[in-house]
Amino acid sequence: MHLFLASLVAALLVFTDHAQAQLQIEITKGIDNPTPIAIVPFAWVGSGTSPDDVARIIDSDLARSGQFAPVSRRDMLSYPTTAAEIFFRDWRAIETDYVLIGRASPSGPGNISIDWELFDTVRQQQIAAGNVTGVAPELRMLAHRVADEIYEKLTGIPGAFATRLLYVSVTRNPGGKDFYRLTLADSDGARPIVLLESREPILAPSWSPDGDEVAYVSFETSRPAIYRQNLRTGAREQLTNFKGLNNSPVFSPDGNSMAMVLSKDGSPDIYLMNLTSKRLTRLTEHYAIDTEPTWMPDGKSLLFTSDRGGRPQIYRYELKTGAITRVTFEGRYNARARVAQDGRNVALVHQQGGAYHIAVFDLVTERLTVLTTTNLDESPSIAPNGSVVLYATKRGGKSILGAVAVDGGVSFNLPAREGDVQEPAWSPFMAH
Amino acid sequence: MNVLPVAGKFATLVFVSLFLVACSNTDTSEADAAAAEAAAAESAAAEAAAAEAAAAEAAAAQQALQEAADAVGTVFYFEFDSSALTDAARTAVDAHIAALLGNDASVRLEGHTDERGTREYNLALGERRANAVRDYMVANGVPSYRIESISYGEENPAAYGSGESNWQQNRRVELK
Amino acid sequence: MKDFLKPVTLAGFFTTAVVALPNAAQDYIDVEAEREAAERAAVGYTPPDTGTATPAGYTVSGVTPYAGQTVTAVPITTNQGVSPANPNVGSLVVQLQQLQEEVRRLNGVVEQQSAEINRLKEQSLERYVDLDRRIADLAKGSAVVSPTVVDTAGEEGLTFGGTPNTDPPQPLQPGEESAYQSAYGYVKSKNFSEAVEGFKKFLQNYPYGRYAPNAHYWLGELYLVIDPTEPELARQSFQLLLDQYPNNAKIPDALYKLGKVHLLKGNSERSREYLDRVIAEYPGHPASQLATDFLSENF
Repeated sequence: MHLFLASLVAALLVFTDHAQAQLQIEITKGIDNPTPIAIVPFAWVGSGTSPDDVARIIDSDLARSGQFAPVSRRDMLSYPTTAAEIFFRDWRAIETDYVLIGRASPSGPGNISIDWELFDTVRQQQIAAGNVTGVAPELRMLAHRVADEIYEKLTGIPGAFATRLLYVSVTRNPGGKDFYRLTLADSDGARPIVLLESREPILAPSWSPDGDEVAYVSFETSRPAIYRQNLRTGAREQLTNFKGLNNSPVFSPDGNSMAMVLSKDGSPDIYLMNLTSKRLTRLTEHYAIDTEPTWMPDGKSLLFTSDRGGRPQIYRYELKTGAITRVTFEGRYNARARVAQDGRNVALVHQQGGAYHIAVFDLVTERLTVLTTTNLDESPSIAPNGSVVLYATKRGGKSILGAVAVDGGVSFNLPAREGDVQEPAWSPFMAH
Repeated sequence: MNVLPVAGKFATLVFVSLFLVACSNTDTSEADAAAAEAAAAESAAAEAAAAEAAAAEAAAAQQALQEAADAVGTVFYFEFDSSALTDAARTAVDAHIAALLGNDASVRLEGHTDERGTREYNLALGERRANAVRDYMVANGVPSYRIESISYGEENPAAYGSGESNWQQNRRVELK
Repeated sequence: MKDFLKPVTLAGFFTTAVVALPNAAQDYIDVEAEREAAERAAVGYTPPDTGTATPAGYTVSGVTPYAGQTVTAVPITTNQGVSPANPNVGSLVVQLQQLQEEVRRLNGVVEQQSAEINRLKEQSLERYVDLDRRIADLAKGSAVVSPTVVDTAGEEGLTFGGTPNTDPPQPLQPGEESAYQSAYGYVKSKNFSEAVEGFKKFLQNYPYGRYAPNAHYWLGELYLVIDPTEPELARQSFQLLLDQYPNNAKIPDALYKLGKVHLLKGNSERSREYLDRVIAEYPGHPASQLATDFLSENF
């Protein structure tokens, strides 16, 4: 994980473009009574100053979750960095439930170590503490890991801040060719890296289950083809170049095969490619459109979109038997499903009264809940902890990313300063 | 709506025809003059002239068809979430088929959709539209190896922005 | 639209030319037209019925005036032979496409109806089983059994009865009763944190016990009174009860509580959904009244 960024930059000659590709975050709706928490500036135990404001990163992570209301630094009466320096009455006075303090220090050649302690101001005691260590250029990721641990301690749900996003940013050029960039960024939109830049469309990015590889569709040869790209080594491989559609590559949960959409045999159907032998197996065979496959977490079945029933709906394909059953019935349009790790919540695009919303379909109760109120929402992607759905939407004629909690409680937008942002894909949990 | 492009096409054809009448008359008179001056001219020469004239006629006729095809435009429009050829689109494709049967040009059919719905489904829908035109052309005698169809889904809109006025311009197959 | 307007004027202008031309070359036209007609008849040609003539059709009439030289006919016949000579094939392709669309639509109708039939079948089986049990109970001379036996008298905050429970009561397992009572003891003595631990442990040991639904419900209640409150855990407990014991007598109360919890969590839409559901599905139940009151106070 730590080496890979450095090698990625060198091997791929990628570049960061803060002005264009960097996402900013605007929280549009939080829960009504978020937990107040004070994240005190961390001490830097070493020469010079800390290369990054660790506390600030944790602060914005927790604020973005909508479940926490971090205390402004202006309101803090002191900046304690050790347990002994905490005067609980000060923190109760500003009605803070929790106080997080920490110390960052260089440890060994090129490494940074962060110690943190979390205190309950009511009980006036430490309730959690920990340490994370990593290479200096990954300091932001270390801060996200601290945020993950705090989040899990206080909500019971693992945090997903130390994860990454893949998205396509487009600079529209009416009358000329557009500019497409496949971009990799931290989950807070920071540190964008362009993996691929093209004058032709880039589509359907997705992650390998270990987070080391990505797959996507690129039209760079003037026709669509499926590629996989290793993030550690930068190695890129073209997997398909068939006549017709080459679309929707999704790695299987075991990482050994890839489901995809090909129309080489006439109409778009779902195929399975063994990634070692490159052997193809045709899964569906119907003159209708079968597309947008997505794996159930157990790898035993796939969900996909088909208009074999006249309008696009979600169907399930059982790998063992080849049986196909229709999953969604509510409404005229349900498409592009993504299944949460619990194997139960399915995020999808649902049409209601002419508008396209993001909805969650519960596979157990078969209930469908619409999560968004905007009109042209698409490409849902679920956070690896199952808490938030990231999606693409339109605002003021521009494509931006939006995020909404699966329970509908919290939402925020991630617009880019320039250009359109579309097709987000949230990474799986990554090994540290 | 249907009548207008047809009338236009008709007018173009008539116009071209008039032009051709003028040309062929000149050719004929020249040939006559040559025959009069060289009374013992071989029949082969006459045949060559005739063949030349025939070729010119063929080229002219083909050009007429090409111009008719150009007159109807190279973009065929579709209804929402449909890949069925509308009558207007069919008439336009007919003009291109007539031209394509007289030449050996290769064409590329690019299918497009509006921005509504999911990108990947739209990519498939764009392909279905391109293939609907392709299949219709093949059925009318255009060899399939001369046709390449490709879909861009909603990626390359002709009109930027939302609303039906933009969307209807984007639901299309472009012949290139 | 501008593209369309220009041809209109052109067409108007040239209409006279079209009329004038045939007069100049009258004898040629008739011969040629007759030959064309005969050819068409021979290959079984019928004009397309779409109401829009093919361009080649116009080419014929347009080119004929100067077609006295036989050679000029060659390219035209070529076009005639391949393109509109077989317009039926083109129509067939369009028809096939239309049929495919129609079959897909019908397939959708079949899918929907089968799903609906399956749902109705399940529902009617459930109703039959329920009815059968009630009749059996009546035959035994006992009233409809509701699991009130499970509920210790005086459990505050719990309302029972009203809706008959259709889940067959689970047999009591050894130790289950005392484990449940010990957890409930903490509730009575207002040691809520201990009560939470007690019910959690109870559910670990007796996940499908007779008292399991009660334990879920109590956990939901307790998560809302412990300090700090845990609305998310409360939601999960009530939701578990709802998913696993949809016929339990506590469902109306759980729905009402879910409505409250979602509001606590800031999701007023979802809150409303649950409150409306109690009122719609359990009219007359005390929880329905509570939901009505809660709605009028908070919305």
